[in-house]
Amino acid sequence: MANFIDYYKILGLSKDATSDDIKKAYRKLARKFHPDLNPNDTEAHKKFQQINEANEVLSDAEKRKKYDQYGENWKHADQFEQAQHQRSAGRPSAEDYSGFSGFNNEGGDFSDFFEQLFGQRHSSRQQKTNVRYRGEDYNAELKQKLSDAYTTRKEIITVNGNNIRITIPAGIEGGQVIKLKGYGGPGINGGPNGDLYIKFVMDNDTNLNRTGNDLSMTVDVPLYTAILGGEVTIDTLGGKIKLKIPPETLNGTKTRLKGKGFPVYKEEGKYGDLFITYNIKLPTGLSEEEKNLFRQLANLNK
Amino acid sequence: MEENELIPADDFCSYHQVSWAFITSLEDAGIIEIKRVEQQHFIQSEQLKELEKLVRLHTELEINSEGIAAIAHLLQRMNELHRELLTVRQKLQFYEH
Repeated sequence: MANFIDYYKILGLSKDATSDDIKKAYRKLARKFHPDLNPNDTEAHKKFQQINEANEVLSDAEKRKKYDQYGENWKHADQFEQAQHQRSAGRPSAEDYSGFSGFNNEGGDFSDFFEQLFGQRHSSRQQKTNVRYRGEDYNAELKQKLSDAYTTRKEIITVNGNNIRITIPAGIEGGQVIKLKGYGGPGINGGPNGDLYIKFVMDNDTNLNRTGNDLSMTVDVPLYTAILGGEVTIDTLGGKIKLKIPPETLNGTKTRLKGKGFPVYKEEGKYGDLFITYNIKLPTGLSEEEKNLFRQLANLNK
Repeated sequence: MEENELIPADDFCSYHQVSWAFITSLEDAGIIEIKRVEQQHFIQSEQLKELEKLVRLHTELEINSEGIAAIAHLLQRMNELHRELLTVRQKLQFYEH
């Protein structure tokens, strides 16, 4: 069973609120939480939904009466409902101020409480609230491995049963959205279709950190190589790279490899940089001979 | 999709029950562009999304066209800031690691 919802509380009103109070309270809150004014804010969308539902009930004299009458005992309202349906059948709608349309598909339904008390929303209102000419936009998320995003790939995705072949350019970023024109909901009255928005979610499967087109990583360098100089080979997304380590390289030294970072989105052949931080590894588990040699070194520096 | 590139402004207005004056006021504010072909007015389909959003704000919240123009600019600014925030967060993450 659905939980009781206090519609007065949602609109910040007391039970003796006049219809004018309700209208005012509703509009005030609607201006604050309207989805078109709160993009990317699902909390606001939810809140807006509740306000709408509260208004739908309290601004309609009959619904409000029923709601007030049964209140928290609404579960026994069945008989009342039957009588109500008969009476309201031929009645022209007294209220032409309909609810809002700002939602996308998600969260467009009223609560279970509402539906159990009043039945499905009246279709006349439902249609009126769906004010769009252009079809709805669809939103989808696509998970990508960072190592996959290094190259341009083709992928087939399924949206509402349709297979769509898409090309994902190298260098795409987490949070980035690509638009597929016309793959959203159908237009109404000859209006154009909506679009499909695909948001990429990056899953870092590497030991690299990515900032825009730049990559960074820590590379371990053996003590002897750091002191005497030498070479270290590292694995990058673009293949192996040999690094020249100059003699007396200090721990934490940073170096930049130009053009060895991530590919720049939609700019073929262009790459960011790779930033490397050297981590000098001290040898452990030294043999007696090694320890002696270090002692000699230590004595030299006394 | 191509055949829908231009939407007759009359169709749009009657479907949404908004006045032509509202549409032109948005054009005056530089928010949308109206194409004129042989004395007929058309709206480009790529502007429909933004336009329908503003129409909803206009009809549902009863905001006049001056208010809508201000909101449109603020929303755009908010979008830019939101994007900037995401980039900065990403950069910050790099230093926190």
